[in-house]
Amino acid sequence: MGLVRGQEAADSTRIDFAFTGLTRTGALSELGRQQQLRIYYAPEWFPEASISRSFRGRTLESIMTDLLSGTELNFYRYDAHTFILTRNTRIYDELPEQFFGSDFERDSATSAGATARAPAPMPIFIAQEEIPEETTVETVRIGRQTASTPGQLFILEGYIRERTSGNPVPDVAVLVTNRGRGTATDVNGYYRLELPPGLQELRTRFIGMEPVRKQVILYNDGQLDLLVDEAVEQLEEVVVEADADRNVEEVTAGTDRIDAEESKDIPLVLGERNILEVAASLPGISKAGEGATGLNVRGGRTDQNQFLLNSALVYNPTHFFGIFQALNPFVTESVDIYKGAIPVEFGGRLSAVFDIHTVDGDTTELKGEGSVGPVTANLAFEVPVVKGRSSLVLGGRGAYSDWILRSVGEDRLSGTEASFYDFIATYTDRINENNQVKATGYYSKDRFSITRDSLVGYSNRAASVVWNHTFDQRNLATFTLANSRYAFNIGYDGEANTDFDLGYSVEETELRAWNRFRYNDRHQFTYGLAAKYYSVNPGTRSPSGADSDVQRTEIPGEQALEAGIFLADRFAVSDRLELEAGIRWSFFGALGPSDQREYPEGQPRNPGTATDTLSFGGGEFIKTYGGPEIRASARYLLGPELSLRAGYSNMYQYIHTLTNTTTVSPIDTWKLSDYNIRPQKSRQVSLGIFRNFDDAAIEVSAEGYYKWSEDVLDFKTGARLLLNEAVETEVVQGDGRAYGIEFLIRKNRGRLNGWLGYTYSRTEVRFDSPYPSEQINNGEFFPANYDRPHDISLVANYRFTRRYSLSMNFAYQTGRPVTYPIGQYFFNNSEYVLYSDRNKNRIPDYIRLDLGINIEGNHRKEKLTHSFWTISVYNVLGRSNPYSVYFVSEGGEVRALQSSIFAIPIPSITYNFKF
Amino acid sequence: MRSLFNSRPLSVRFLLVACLLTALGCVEEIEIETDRESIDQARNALVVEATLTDEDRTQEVVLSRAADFENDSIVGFDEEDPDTYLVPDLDPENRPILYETGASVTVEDDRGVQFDFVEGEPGRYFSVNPFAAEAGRGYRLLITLRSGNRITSEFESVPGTASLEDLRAERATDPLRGPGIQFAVDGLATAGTEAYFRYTFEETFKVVAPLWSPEDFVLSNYDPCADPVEYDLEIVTRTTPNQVCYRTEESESIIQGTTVGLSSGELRNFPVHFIDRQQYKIAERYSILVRQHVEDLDAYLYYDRLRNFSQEGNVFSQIQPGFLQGNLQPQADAPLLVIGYFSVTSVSERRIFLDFEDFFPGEAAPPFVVPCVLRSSPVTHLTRCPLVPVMESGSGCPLSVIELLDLGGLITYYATYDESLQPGDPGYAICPGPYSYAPRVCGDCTVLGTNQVPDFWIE
Repeated sequence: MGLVRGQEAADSTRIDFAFTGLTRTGALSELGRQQQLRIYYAPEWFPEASISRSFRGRTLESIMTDLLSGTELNFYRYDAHTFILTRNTRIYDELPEQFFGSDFERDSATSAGATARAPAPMPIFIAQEEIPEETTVETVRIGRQTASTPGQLFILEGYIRERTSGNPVPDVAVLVTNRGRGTATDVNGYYRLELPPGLQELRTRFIGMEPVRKQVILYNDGQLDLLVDEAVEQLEEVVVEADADRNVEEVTAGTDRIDAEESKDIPLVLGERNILEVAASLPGISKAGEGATGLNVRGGRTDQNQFLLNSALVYNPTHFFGIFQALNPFVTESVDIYKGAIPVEFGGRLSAVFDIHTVDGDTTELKGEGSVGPVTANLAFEVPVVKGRSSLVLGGRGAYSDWILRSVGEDRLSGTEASFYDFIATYTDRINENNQVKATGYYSKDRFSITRDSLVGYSNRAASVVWNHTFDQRNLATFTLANSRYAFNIGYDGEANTDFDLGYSVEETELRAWNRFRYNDRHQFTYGLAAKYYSVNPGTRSPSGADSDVQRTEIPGEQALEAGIFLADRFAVSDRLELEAGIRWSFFGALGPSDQREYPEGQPRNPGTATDTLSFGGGEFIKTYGGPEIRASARYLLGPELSLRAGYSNMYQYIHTLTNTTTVSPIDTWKLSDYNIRPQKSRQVSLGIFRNFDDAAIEVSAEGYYKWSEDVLDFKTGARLLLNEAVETEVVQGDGRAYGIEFLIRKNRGRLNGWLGYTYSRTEVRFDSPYPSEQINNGEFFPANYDRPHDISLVANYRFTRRYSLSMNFAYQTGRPVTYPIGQYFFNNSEYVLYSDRNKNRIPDYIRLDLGINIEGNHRKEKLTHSFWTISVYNVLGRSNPYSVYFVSEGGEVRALQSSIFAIPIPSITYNFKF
Repeated sequence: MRSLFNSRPLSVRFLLVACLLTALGCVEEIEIETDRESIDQARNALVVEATLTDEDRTQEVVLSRAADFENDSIVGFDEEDPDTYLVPDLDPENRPILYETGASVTVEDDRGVQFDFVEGEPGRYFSVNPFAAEAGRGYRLLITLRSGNRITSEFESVPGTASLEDLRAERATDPLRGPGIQFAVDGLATAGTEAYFRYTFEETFKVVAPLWSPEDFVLSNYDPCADPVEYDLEIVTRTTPNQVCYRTEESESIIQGTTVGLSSGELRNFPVHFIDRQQYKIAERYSILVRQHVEDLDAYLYYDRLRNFSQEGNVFSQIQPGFLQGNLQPQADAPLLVIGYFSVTSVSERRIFLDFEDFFPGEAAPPFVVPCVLRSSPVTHLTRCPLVPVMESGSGCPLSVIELLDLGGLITYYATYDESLQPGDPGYAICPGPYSYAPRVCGDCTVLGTNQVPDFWIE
């Protein structure tokens, strides 16, 4: 695979070589014998078949290429007389296409299997070559010259110590660069090398230490002790970097990626790492407020996002009203975010896909990581199962808020609950080179009391098995089986005979099979199909306690089938222009058994206007929806570090949350499209310009979008959504338009790194109908609840030394729209407020600054465990950012109240450890 | 922060949890601004309170206007810091309500029979003759405003019957408000098993003025401009009985329950009211009349939404508010918002009496509505003409007796001032005059209620 860049590659000596009826191994030995070559390989790599060839006036390289064609082998010309054959491994297989930069020429004859999708960035450890070194190198002579036989080796040994402390430094690489030899110091800082006599160019290399360079003229055995200095800026030089030019060369419009590492240093509330919160600091992604569950992506409702945890959907990946993520931070590796032209293999949600990947786990040694913070404790283990092959990852976390609540001893809180936990287990098995299986199980649970009478609990369950199978170098197939469930229940325990338990659940099972086929260098196809079965229990109310007279009520369940068949071609039209064009045929069928009400055209829908009830049997399609979804992106490289990217997509969504609150709550129900409720649809166009500077150290981009949506759901004022069989009479479907422009400047390397994002966006919705009861704001466009035109995020991290770093996070957002009353009136012996148009006012702007300090433990001395402390202050400015403004009527009077979730600076300390 | 602990119990607990967990975010009271368009809209909002019942009696319809925020601050009476001289005035008559006068109000049944109403008091329209809503009949409300705009309701009918089987009071402890008395009802649907109930209640309780005296001041011939000030102050035996009165308060909140989904068709032990033991209402004999209205689903939902819009819900998810459309429609071109719901209900009611001793035997009775302390000050003051700032006139003494009486009878006579009182003694005054007196509310119960024993009262 293109490793022909060896130093002898320029050898252009032309030779003749012919043979008949030899196996490839035979041919290679013959070639070696004739040309006095040493060729290293394993005979079992070759097929048994015999071949015949006749070469005239060809270079050795071209002969080699020919001999290896049709195999998976590459060669590497080590020197004039040495060839090393290597066999492609899966690791090479997954190397990003642009790993060596876009100008790198691929050897097509030996090119490896396809990487069909956007190249996954790999961390590149930039070692310290760039450190300017003194040009004059000290020369040391060792030993006394004696008569020696040619080929005799001498011993060079010594100790390496840290200059100031005098402590021995283990694990220092001692390299003799002109001899290709090297060793590392042991725990006592001792090294020993066997070297031929003469000039040795000696270098030491160790992370955290200044390199030492010496010229050693070796005459005999001898000792050389070295003192090394601690390199203050050392860690700066070790940069985990996303694929350098990904930003510019990515083809798919509207993609982002967050590595868990990135979220580590960002100060967050109560010391909890939250990768979703980091996502919300990227342009185009926002939250309705602190304590608002869910993200709004490019003007989309929160129900239009798909959170996939190793391909299994997680309906609500947050705890405690969105304040904490429900993902174990140590197990999460990265999140790929698609907010524009979503790749064809995903479907079913209009706005975005958050593709969350967990770590694969170490297959050689047991590893653990944990943290103790003010609210939760987290723990994760990586357990090798079959050494070098498979690994189990276990992660768990829990909040001890119940304990805090109890220990406060406040009477008002007696019997109050608020707790959560989540648990994840993944098993990864590289069965062989061609097969890898990853199985995931996940569960999260929240419980809290909203009022003293009721207790709310919700849970997410997700499980998946993903099997990656490499048919050959050009076909990589993925089979996924996933099952997810979201459920909540409300337990009501009051004084009367009305105590009940209310339960809701939605469950889905998906099977997906798809293949990435690298047809040639220019075409890479993705095709496959997916099928999903939904089953919803829209609500069951049952009596609780002996005294309850509540009759069991069950809203009949809903079932549906969603399917997609898709094909995409990633087509490199030229060096500069690359297209990704795909189509996904989306299908949805609501399934019986079910009774569906029919409403006459030309009349408002309410329980009284239903004219007929249609009964559907089990497995019968009630109604089907669907159509083609186009996913198209194009990237044009204007220069090596400058590109334009455009995208178009349209999508269907068949499952919707029903909410009658201004922000999303965990007890919002998911409703499937049915006879009366149509799917939501959207179309989006986007255009962006991407520029990198300084070898991708700085990325600058601007991307604009316009999005139309149809049949988005809202509800009539004061709608009753829970336990309502005829819920279609409470909802209205309207259209939306959203547009915006997103700017991002990102610095990826250096002591100071981070990003500054600014988004200007508008999101408006319109609910129009001939009937006033189905209109909102007279059927005109009005700002959606999450319309926040200006959004600025600044995330920065500054590393002082390798142990101390300072991070900050600044956020500014226009206040979200809110419905203010226009007046008050007296009714029923009490004052009430009068509301009119929805979302005419805004709550004050949101401004927040967080600061954090990370203190790393000493790497060298504590070999067993590595620890770091995170000290952070959330909302340093202490600004009381209003979350909502509302009006209560009490004691016969109306009062305007404003609530904020975090009104004061909140300090926290978290202890993290690793072993 | 202050309002946090003083708001309704429903959500406070949860908020506290949130606050604790999140190291205290919180709730504060704010003032909001309004704009021209909103002011106009609010002024054009008509409020209709009309519940027609199946009791044969004079039916009532109340019409008023909404108030915009330009004229009325949304923040009202501060319960935490009541002025000692003032008591929350719960009499709707005295509220600053813009009543809609001069309208013509009629209820019409589905046979076209009309029941006319006349305006008895501003904005309050009473049926000319007593009548009852009959089961099986449809009724609608027709209003013609003085401006000529007409409002019509949909036809509504009595939605079934139910009985208020029981009303009971029990000693109970509310997690937020402490020990007190819980009133609960049993409501039984008598036609079918499904009924929607809206409960209202009327509390009547005896008020005994704690610093009552058989004598009182009578001020006459007062001239604050004369120098010296002219006045005649007499202490005479009271002619009106005002030591013991009866105060009546109407329920303010929306209390609804339903038997829908209950197999028995009976809503049992449904809490309608809670009084904590610190309330002066139950210091003496107390009575509560609970009325159970059987209403239809639409009315139930209307009130339910109204209630949802005016409570906190929970901090994290606020119900989306908006204009609540009832069953009253203005004529098509009228620039009018109509608030309210015309409901026709079947009513049953129960009354019970109780004494504090029955529930808290041996315990100290709750304190009076305001702290009652005796005061004293000089009888007269320097001339007010030319106007001299009050504080300069009496060298730091409280207002004089005659001024307090002239300001609307803020005080009542108690006794002659006891010169032997020492600092710290109850009733000690820094600047005493010849008389000890009490804030009027402490010495004259008619401030709080009526001295007529109600017809239903049973000792």
